[in-house]
Amino acid sequence: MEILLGSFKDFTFGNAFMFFLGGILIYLAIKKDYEPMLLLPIGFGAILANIPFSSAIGENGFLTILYNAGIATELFPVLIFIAIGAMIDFGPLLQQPFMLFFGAAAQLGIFVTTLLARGLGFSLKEAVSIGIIGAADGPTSIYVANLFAGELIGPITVAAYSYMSLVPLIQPPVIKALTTTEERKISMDLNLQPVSKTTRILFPIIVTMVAGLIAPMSVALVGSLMFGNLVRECGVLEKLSQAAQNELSNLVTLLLGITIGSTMVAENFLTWKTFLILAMGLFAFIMDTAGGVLFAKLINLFLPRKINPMIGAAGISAFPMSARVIQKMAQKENPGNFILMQAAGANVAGQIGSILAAGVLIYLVSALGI
Amino acid sequence: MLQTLGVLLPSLGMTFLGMVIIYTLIKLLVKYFPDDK
Repeated sequence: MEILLGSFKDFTFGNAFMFFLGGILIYLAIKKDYEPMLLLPIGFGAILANIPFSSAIGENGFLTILYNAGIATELFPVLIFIAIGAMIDFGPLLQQPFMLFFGAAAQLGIFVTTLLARGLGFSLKEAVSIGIIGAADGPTSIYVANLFAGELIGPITVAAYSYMSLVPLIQPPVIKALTTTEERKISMDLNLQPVSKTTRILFPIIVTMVAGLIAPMSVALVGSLMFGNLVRECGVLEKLSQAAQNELSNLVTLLLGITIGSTMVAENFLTWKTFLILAMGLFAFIMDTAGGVLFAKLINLFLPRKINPMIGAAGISAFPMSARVIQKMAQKENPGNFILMQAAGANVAGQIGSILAAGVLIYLVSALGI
Repeated sequence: MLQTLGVLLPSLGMTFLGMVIIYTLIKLLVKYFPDDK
C-alpha cells in the first residue's frame, strides 16, 4: 500500500501549483486561442514533469531524451527557423527596404531589459538571455537561453510565447500613448513595385553571407531561416517548401513545446527569478514597441512625406500578428487606410533584426570568456 | 554595469550596421535585377 501511495506522499504544494499553471496554459490555448500550438504542449509537459517519480523525465524519460537531443543541441530552434523561413514572404521588405531600420529599432527592448536584469542582480549571461525575450521570437529566446542560462529556459520560453500571443493586448496601449490621433491616421504610398524572382532568390543567399560575416554566431539562426526561404522562393522545391511549412513546423513545434514544459519542475520553476523574468519579459515587449514607434517619429522629423509611426511598432518579430494589429489600429482611426504591406515589411525586418541582434550578443558575450 | 554597456552598445551599433548593409544590398539587387526577362 505504501508503495502504491508513494507518489501522493511526495506530492508537494509546488507540484500542485504547477498542475494548476499547466492547466492555465492549456485553458489559454484552448479557450483563448493564445499560441495554442505551443502553450498546450508546454502546459501538458509541465503536468507530466510534476508528477512525483514521473517516468517521463529523468535519465530514461522520453522528455529528457528529447531535451538532450533537441534543446541541449539547439536542434529544435534551428529546425523551427527552417520552417519559419519557408513561411515568410520577404516581398514587402524587398519592396520597401527602408523598413529594415524599424526591425532594428524595435529590438530596443532586448538592450534595455538586459540592463534592467543586470540591475536586478542577474549575471551578464542570464541578463542577455532574459533580454532576448525582447526579440519577440520564441526559437531565438530558446537558443540563447540554452546557450547562456539553461536553468532559466522554462520561464524564458513561457514568457516569450505568452507575450507573443498577447501582442494584440500589449501593443495598442503603448502605441496610443506615444502617438496622436493625427499620426495614426497617416496613410502611406500603396504603389509598391513588384520584385523579380532573381532578387527573391539572391536575397536569402546574400543575407546569410553578410549576416554571417558580421556575426558568425548568428549563422545557425540566419542560415536556417534563409535556407527555408530559399527553398520557398527557388520555385523548384515546392514539395519541400510545403513540407517545411507544414509537417516540419508542426512536428518540431509539438516536440519543442512538450519538451520545454518538462523543464518546468516545481523546485526549479517556482522561484523569485521566474516571477522577475515574467515581469521583465512584459517590459521587453513594451520597450520594443516604444523603440519602434519613437524611431519612426524621429525619422518623421526629417521626411517631407510623413510615415505612419505605428509602422515602427511592427518592427518586433512577432510575425504576422504585429502587422495585423497595426493594420487594425490604422483602420480604426481611418477606415480607408491600408498600411498592412508596410507593416508586414517592418515585421519581417524584425525577424532579421532579432536574429542579428541575438547573434551579435552571443558573439560579444562569448568573446568575454565569462 | 560598464561591462554590460560594453556589450550592449556595440551590439546595438552592429545590429544597425548590419541593417544598413542589408539595406544597401537590397537596393543593389532591386536595381540590377529589376525583372526576370
